[in-house]
Amino acid sequence: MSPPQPPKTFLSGTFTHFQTFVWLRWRIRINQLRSSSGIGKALSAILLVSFAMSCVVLLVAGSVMGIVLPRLVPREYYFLFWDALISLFCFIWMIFVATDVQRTDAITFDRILHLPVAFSQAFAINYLSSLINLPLISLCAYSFGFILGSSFSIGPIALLFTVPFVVFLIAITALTYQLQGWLAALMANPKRRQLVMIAIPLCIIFASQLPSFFALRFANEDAKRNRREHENRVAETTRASEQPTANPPVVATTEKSASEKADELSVKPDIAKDAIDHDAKERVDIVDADLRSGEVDSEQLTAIQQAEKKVVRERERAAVTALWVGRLHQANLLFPPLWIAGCVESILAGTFHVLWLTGAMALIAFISLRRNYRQTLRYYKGETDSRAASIYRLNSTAADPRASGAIEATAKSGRQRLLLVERKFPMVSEETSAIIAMTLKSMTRAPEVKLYLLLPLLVPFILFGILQSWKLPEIDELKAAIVIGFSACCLFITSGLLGNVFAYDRAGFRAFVLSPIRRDRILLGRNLATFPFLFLQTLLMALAIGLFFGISFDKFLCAVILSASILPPFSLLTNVMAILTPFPLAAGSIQPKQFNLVPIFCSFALSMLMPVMTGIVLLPLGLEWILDRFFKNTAFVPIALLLSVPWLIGFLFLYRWLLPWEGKLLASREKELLRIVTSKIE
Amino acid sequence: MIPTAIETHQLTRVFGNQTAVDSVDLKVACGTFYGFLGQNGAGKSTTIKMLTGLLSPTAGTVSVLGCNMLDHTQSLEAKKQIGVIPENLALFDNLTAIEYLIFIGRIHGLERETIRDRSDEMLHLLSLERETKKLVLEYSHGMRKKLSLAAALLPNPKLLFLDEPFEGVDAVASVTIRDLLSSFVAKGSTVFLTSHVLEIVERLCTHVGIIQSGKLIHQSSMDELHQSGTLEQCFLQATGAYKNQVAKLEWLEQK
Repeated sequence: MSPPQPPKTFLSGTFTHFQTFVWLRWRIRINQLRSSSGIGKALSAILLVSFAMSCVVLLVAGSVMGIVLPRLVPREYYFLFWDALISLFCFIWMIFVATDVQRTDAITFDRILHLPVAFSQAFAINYLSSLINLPLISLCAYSFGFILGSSFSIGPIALLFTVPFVVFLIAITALTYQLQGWLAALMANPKRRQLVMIAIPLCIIFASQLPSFFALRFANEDAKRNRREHENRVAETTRASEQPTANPPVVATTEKSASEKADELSVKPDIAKDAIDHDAKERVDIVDADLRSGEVDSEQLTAIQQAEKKVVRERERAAVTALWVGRLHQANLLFPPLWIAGCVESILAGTFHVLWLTGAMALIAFISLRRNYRQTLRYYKGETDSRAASIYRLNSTAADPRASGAIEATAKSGRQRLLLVERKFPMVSEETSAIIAMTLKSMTRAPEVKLYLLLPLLVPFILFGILQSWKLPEIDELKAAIVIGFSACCLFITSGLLGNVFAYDRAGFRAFVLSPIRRDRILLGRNLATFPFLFLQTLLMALAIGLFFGISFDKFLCAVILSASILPPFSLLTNVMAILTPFPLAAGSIQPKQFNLVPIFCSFALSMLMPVMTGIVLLPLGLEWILDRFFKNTAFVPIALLLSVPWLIGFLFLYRWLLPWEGKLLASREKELLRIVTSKIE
Repeated sequence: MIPTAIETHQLTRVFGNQTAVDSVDLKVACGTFYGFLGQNGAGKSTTIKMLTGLLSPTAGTVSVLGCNMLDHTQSLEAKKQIGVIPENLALFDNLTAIEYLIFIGRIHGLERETIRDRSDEMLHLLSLERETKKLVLEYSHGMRKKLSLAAALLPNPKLLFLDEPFEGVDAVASVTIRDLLSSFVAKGSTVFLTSHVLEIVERLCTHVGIIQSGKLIHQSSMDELHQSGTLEQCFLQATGAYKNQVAKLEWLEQK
């Protein structure tokens, strides 16, 4: 009989459990590494070493920047570095969260809740595990380096930045953790999961575009106002030089301008007004003195005017800078992610803002973690409203004879109409039609697929700001080439889906392997099912960009045909990617399951053939441009348009020629493919 | 001479340094209800995967309904005549039951009306007719199993491969499936089934094969087997379970 164990104190028991969890996480990670292939292990090792080195590099870079940068700018602008750093981090963080919208706990509670382990311990370790990620570690490495470096350049007071920075980290990770937990609870309902899976990344993408949208809008408004004011001043100055006694109008205009500016500069009206008053006074003095003395000739007057313009421009630039700094001051107090910059500003200025900003961040962190804990507890106890509601609905439907009658009636009426999955498509076999119909139906329901197909449609909106600043030369061929380039860009985005298309079938791929149909027909069916979406993307992209640049109709038509001609080789390429470089995906997600780098790298390398394909498709446009340039008399012949049709036909023949070969490749690889796409998810 | 539905010769599958199936020689005649038994990890599912073309053998040959499953063209011919419930099923999460059955029916070249009629009958029989609006991803494990059985039976195959068809299925559906399979075999078709429920195998199967550690250690008709005792006795004896004494766990007896 074994001797009785001495009773453990609560703390020692908690620490033992904590150690066990840490060990568990470590063992899982090591076993995952061991089970990967030799190349995978090597790549993982390389990545790990690179990551460690990059952390050291970031720490050193941060320290150097912290020493050098504060010496280059006035101390009152130091907080701008923090604004830039946090903005960049928030952008990367949003992308990171978008790739994994649902929280995947390192240790799932349903595997440990039957053990004598406190729920809070498991929650704490899961939260702490969520902190180990690339963006956060990079931010920490750089920021701590920057704080350390700053302590040399602006004094030991910079070390105080560490406190609000750590609180900021806890607040943002707690909020993210809560958001992901809430989404996980929301996604307990499989149908709602579909909506969430699409909505969240789209919201994040739009949210990440908002700062640049506002910045662009402010910049445009400022530029317009500055231009208007500059024109007014130049006009007034000219008038003043023609009429030496015209002081009052100059002053009047200046006053008007200042009041306008004061209205617009609600942020720092005193700075702007001072600048303009000083500028006006100086200007009036110079012009008056010179004109009164009669010593100024026309050349000197021009020189004075130019010098004056320069001074005015400088003052305007200073006013704009003051305006932006003022806006950022406000943003640092009002916009929570930038509170850390507000804290830095406050510490340097010796104000008390730092206290309430840090306190507010700590409060956010506390409330988030507390709510998060309760929410997770409720979810695992099955107390979520959504669950209860769905169970209630299920029971009430089962119990209600009218409801069951309605179900039967609906089923009968459904029998009468032709379902999408029953449709026969022209010019293809019955089996291919079945695959097209099934793929269309499945694709329009799978959230991760819908997300992939919708993402390219956001490209024009995201690039809108960039396009606004583009001033293209009036070459139609170039505009058409840009249309095709953007279409290819959209296809490139969807290659992530189509290049691993069988992984999205998951267990369903087994049905293809068990099916008695030719494998090239499977590929044809899958390609044709995605064709309408891809062509619609291409057409919308061509329309959006074509209208924006004002492209001629024949070039627009040519661009659409050439864009469509990318589709056959693109389909061939994605088929090869899907057959040769598949990797398993988590259920309902686009996230690779058990990260194996080899197929992902190979898939990426294959997708790099896309630019080559695009280059070949662009040849007719290039030919027309060359002929136009060197043989002027061919300008009236739409060579690119004429060539685009045989180009498209040629690519279609290429597709038809190579598809049977790809079918054989699929037949020879299907069992291995099945093993890969199902092994890690079942 | 009765034609052979399944025939393997020295069928072997190796995973790394582990032999999951070791030189198995199976012979299943047409019209047989064949029960394939074994402990967990014995190699049952791996064998079914190789028989149905879901997994390539490391060595050996597989013939199903006279077609060589290692030849791609011939395996397609065989697949036209077989129905399968694989280990982890073959369902598309984002289709409804009726949509999935229509897809399977079309792949096998059935007419629209035939697919509709058969699907409705089977969904009714398996108590799935009220769940037609649900996506497969909302189904419970048992419902998924039933849908897989419906899909396997839909093309009216000559040969059925069923990997644990009764696992997770409710008692009522279990009886229905048993009756369904019995009548399927009675009309001359063949069923190859794996199960851990010895009572079901004993009640349904005409022939039985036992696999242990990848080796086929017993193959006979049920009548032959009954001459030496019940299926359970034979199974335990063949797998050597009687030899393993239950270790006495002294600490479990302590209060």
